[in-house]
Amino acid sequence: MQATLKIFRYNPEKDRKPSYKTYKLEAIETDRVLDLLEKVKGYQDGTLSFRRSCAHGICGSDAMRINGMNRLACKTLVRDVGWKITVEPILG
Amino acid sequence: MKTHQFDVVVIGAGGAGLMAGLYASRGASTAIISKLYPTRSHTGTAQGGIGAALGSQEEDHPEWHTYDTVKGSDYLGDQDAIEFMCEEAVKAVYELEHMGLPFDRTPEGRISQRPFGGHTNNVTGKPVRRACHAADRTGHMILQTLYQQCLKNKVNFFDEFQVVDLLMVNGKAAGVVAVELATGEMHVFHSKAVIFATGGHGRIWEITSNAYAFTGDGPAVVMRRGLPLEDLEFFQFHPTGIYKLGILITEGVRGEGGILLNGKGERFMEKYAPKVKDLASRDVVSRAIYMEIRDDNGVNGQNYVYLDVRPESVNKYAALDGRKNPDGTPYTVSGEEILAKLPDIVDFCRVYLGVDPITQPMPIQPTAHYAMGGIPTNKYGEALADEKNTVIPGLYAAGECACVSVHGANRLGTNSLLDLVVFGKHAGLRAAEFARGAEIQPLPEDPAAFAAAQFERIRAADGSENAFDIATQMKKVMFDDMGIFRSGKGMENALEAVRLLKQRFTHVRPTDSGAVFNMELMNIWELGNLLDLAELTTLSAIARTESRGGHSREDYPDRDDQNWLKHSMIWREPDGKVTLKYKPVVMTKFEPKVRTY
Repeated sequence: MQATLKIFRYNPEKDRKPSYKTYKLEAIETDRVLDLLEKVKGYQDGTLSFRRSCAHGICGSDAMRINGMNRLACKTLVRDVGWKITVEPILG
Repeated sequence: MKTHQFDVVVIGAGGAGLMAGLYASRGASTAIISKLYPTRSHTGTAQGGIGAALGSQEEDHPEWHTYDTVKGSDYLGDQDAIEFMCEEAVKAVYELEHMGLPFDRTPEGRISQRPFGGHTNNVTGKPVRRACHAADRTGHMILQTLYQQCLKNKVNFFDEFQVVDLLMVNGKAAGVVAVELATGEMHVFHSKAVIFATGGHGRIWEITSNAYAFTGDGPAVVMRRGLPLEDLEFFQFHPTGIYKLGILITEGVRGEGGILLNGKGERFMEKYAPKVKDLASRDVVSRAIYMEIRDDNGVNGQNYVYLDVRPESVNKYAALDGRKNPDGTPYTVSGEEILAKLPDIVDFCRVYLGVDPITQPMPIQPTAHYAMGGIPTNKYGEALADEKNTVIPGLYAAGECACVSVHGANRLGTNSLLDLVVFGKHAGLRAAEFARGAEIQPLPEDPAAFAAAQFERIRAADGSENAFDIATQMKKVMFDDMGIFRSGKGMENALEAVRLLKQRFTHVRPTDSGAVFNMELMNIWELGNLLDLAELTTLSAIARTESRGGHSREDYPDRDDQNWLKHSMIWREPDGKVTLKYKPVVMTKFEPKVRTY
């Protein structure tokens, strides 16, 4: 099925202010949100940068705000949040 | 370009790096450079425990631990180094405890220990309780404890700096070059001593327990400076990774009484390791799972088997085995006890599989886990230049990126945490001692030139190839042909495929042209490391015409001590020419014997 990722982007070298960018890609419901971010980065937009390391909920690198809640992208599955996914930085 | 100067720089902030930095900082100005934030290092995912013959619950001795490790290594481990590690183990655990590590306790208040694969009572041959643990988060606790100790000791941290080159002047270490991820700027760390503690390279394989960060940066950087890598053909596949995802399910599950079942519901390890069954060494269990799947004994005809830790199953098989508690009463567990002892495992299964291990068996398959090979060192962590064990002044390595070799052809569970604590400490001590008596080498004229040229090449490529595709294909061919079972034909196929991918890799260019957090550029550079190590791993493996530990060949199924009781050392020249040499295994007390469990 197709998932939609709406990502809050900011490039300090180019952008005056942050804005949302939307990506569409094929996914399955057991995909981690991190898997989707990796695919977007690999095939659609290499400028997408985010932290990640262990990919199974231990190291905490990929903490982000997903559909309005602070979560780990590697511990959040599509089936947990649905096919329309908004990704933003965690609130300070 | 910025330049910094320290007596000692440590690359990597996992267990080995933090331990090295902590000890070095007591006698020398020290910096730890990490491409991650330190507590995100992969040591944090180590689950089951750290091995030490404390004998807190039953009889145990460092000599038994030594023998088990030698046997586990399939006799390729250097016995002087193994003896040293196992003797130091007891001290190391008490030291961690004194630093504040919250080990689990027995009701009497002693450090609790659990059985683990390949660790035995040398008289009875039965599993022994040797793994000291903090639930199933032992590595996490080690990492947090050591990081706090380093902060207390005012170690200088450079977080999110990625080291991309080693500086060598007059045959001695002179520092490293790193990219500051937040700015893209090159930094030169000018130092008297350099300690690599960068971890493994398990991202070469498709199904892996390893973090994204495990791209072999240390070995790749050292190798590009003309230094050898040791025993690369030995890579461990852990028997129990979550099906398809590869996420690790600790051997501690089997230590607590969990058993492996095939699609027919048979406890198949009885066939392969009659004495210790599910607690055989990892290479043995991974091969058994592979053979069960190959013989159509997977679950539902799929490529997985079950790991069952449901209390009723544990209690049934514990009774059949006659397993006893230390006080002599029959061993039993409840669902609550499983949850208390293995909370993270239960959580992983619920999140990723929708399976509750208290009431359902877990689908598992072997997963790429640990590099036994790496940067050659002696037992003091000093890096070695050749097969004659010539020490490179000022250069050290510790932890998974190093090859001492204490793990030989197959590492025992709990010995990696032990390795990084013991050898991290000694590398740190040695480096500080060296720095106190050494002059700093002058920096080369343009110290960042070699590293900068690598990145310029990547940025100038034509962009006709995709890095994600190349990585996916490398992982697949390496898992299929350079996995648990290998053959000459399969490995030649892997070599050809990897060389073709290396060609294609020269066309990869990042679409991101920026400097700030250009992770696309850094990830491409990392892929280059993985491809280089995949090639050298395959070449080392093709040359070794025997089966030993993690290197198991269908065309050479037997261990060949006559010809192959030796370590491999591989060099790659800048023009791509590869040289393989060998050096003898250090033997002290233990003659090679047939290895059965």
